Amino acid sequence: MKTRIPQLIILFALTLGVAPLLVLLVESGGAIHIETTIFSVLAFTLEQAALSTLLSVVPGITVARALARQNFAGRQLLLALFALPMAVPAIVAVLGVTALIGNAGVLPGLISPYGLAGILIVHVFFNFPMATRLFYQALQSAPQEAYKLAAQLGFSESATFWQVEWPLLKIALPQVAAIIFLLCAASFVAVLTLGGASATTLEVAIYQSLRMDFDPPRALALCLLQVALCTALIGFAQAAFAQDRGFGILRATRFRYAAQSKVALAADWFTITLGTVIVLPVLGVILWRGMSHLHFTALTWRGLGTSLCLAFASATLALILGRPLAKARDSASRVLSLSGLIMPPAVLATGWFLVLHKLGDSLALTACFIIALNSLIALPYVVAALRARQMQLAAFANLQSNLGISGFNAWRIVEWPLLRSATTQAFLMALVLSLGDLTAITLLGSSGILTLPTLLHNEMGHYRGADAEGTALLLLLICGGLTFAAQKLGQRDA
Amino acid sequence: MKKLILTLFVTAIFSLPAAAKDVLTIYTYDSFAGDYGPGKAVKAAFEKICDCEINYVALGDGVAVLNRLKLEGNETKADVVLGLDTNLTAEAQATGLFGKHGVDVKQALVPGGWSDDTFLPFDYGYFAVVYNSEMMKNPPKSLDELVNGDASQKIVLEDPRASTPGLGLMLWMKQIYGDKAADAWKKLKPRILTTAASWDDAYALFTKGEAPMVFSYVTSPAYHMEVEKTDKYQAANFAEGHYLQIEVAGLIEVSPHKTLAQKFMAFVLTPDFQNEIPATNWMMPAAKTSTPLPAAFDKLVKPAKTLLYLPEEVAAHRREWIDEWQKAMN
Repeated sequence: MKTRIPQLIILFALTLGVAPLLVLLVESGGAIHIETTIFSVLAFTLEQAALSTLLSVVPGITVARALARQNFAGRQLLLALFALPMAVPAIVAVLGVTALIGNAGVLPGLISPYGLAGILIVHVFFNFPMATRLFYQALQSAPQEAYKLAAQLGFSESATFWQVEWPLLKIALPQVAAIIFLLCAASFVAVLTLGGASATTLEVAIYQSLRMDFDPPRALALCLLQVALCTALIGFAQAAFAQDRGFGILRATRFRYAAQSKVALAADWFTITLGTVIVLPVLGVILWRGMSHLHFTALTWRGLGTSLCLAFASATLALILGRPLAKARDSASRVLSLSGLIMPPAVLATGWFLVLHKLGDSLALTACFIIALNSLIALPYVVAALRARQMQLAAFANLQSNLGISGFNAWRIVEWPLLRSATTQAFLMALVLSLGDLTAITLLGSSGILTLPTLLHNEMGHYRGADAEGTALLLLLICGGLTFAAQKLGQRDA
Repeated sequence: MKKLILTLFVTAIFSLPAAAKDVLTIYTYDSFAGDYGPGKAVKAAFEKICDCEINYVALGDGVAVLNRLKLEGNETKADVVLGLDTNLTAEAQATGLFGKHGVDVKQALVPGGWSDDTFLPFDYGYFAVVYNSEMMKNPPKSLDELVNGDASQKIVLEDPRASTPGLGLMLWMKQIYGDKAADAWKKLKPRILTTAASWDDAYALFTKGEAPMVFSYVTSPAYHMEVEKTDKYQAANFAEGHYLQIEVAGLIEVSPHKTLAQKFMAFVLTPDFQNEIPATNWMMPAAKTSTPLPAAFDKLVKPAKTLLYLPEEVAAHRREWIDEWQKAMN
């Protein structure tokens, strides 16, 4: 059963992207002029990405832990709201943040969003809730008995954390941190729009050499630099967090038994409040501004239909490729699962185009390009959402073979009940991400394909900023609905 | 549910109109081809007279269109290219892909006249600093006043590496300050609220009131006057003159539909095409229209002097000037 088909498919897709540029690089004699300014570019890229990761992961863990310990009425709703930032196009988030703390914002002069602070705020808005959801899911995958036992043995809170919770968090941590780091390193719109001209990241430099200078060999050289750097960092992170085996469980956590001290209770609620303060105001601004501009024209319906089709296709493909990758324990698979974030999409799209444009420029081909690129970008999230549970499943392998359960029965009795909520979460993340995506379609050319984000972009480009606010809200509402549905689906007992 | 969506998806792909007629493929930027742009009306008007079908391939902007052509080379599927500007035509010419348009250039009415026999202008616009008159009572009257003015009155700019207007301002500064452009950028720096990745992003920050000024077009206020019925957004008239952007069309020499492409090029300067430009692309028409311009166009700033580099100069120096700008901004 040890097939490596998904790995090979991804490797093939990457090769298809890089090879044509490599040919150009060799043809150009390998003479690439890279300025010394690249070092300051690298330094800035790493600095803001590292800070963004730290500011998303640490609060992500604390808030996830607080949410896991406090069972209250609005918890599911809050977690559903935390799924939404992923769907927000970068410029909408930027405008949301400036509406709060910008010059014309609600709280002007609190912190200026123009500069590193603004970049970090937008990055934390995107990534902290995503991290919280993934860590929360990891914590919920502890066996019910572990918490019961901890309570019976009178474990202190810190002992429960180190003995029960930390091993679970550790499974998710490297992948989550890597995703956030890579996303922020590659962030473009937020970095330029808030950071201004002096904020140049490696991604901006790559984009510049592909766009302004039309110098694919140089772009490839910069891209290889990015790949080398990211792979090294990921390898380091994985070595630092050696993986434990997951618990083998049949019932996921429902209750916590340990009595909680008042201090712990207060601390949890403080953390949860702080978490909502990071996420909800920006979503609130989008809701508030969009409400009076929500509009439904023929274009809206067309955009909505196309967006849903493309997103469902991308998410399905990401899930098909992602499941085996979540099972794989070798470091090559780990790096491959992150390749959609490591490889600059502009480079991939250029390479693919060079190879495949001869097949024609039909709508179908463009749609396939978009689906392929989106599923590659969504893959890291899918793997992150599935990994903890896949590890648990591995713990059942012996039991399963002793009992002689295999094939469909194994899937029905063991795998699906265990994977159900993680799978819906994975699918949802990929879906929401693809719904909000503008990268693929911008890079590949739209050829009549109208999605909600391209509609938003068109409206902004034609002075229709107010309409764009309505479209942004619609996108958010759709994603909210899907998230809610996914939560219901994921929770239903098998 | 998934099945339903798959079915919808497949139908969406295969329900494309079967191409019985000749298809003229036009590469253009997405805000031209998009549903709010002039593309729709232009397509309808041309299809009435050509017994053909127009197929737009929409890319991000003029630069993206040119890059697509460079990637495809002789295998390009474009018959006509619409939406390069004069900052790109030298490079476009160098690809060797473009043929002569064969249209009488005297019909083109653009500042400074037109003589290029490969590219044909379809619209033009002057760049300008647009300001919010409710936030700013004394807008700068020259580029020099902008550069040396009150640093607490901010402006939102676009990045010349990623945006056409951004490149426009860089060239404008170069025209006025020459060798001293880097110093001028350093002086301007404290006035810059931020440098956005695109015109859309910059303009959104401006209309949200984040800054009293934005770098845009002389024609921008016309939209607000015509559609939103407000004259609070105005363009500042600069004493040194304004930098010009001329958008052009060209035909692909090796196109199998060259006759059709030539017919389209002739169509570009006719009123049926030009009438659509002012109120959808919010630019100035490059030839006579048969309907009068929207009333707000009369109230727009009329630049005293036109500033424009030759395409060859831009092609030769752009990289070096962008490096200079980048160093000054760091």
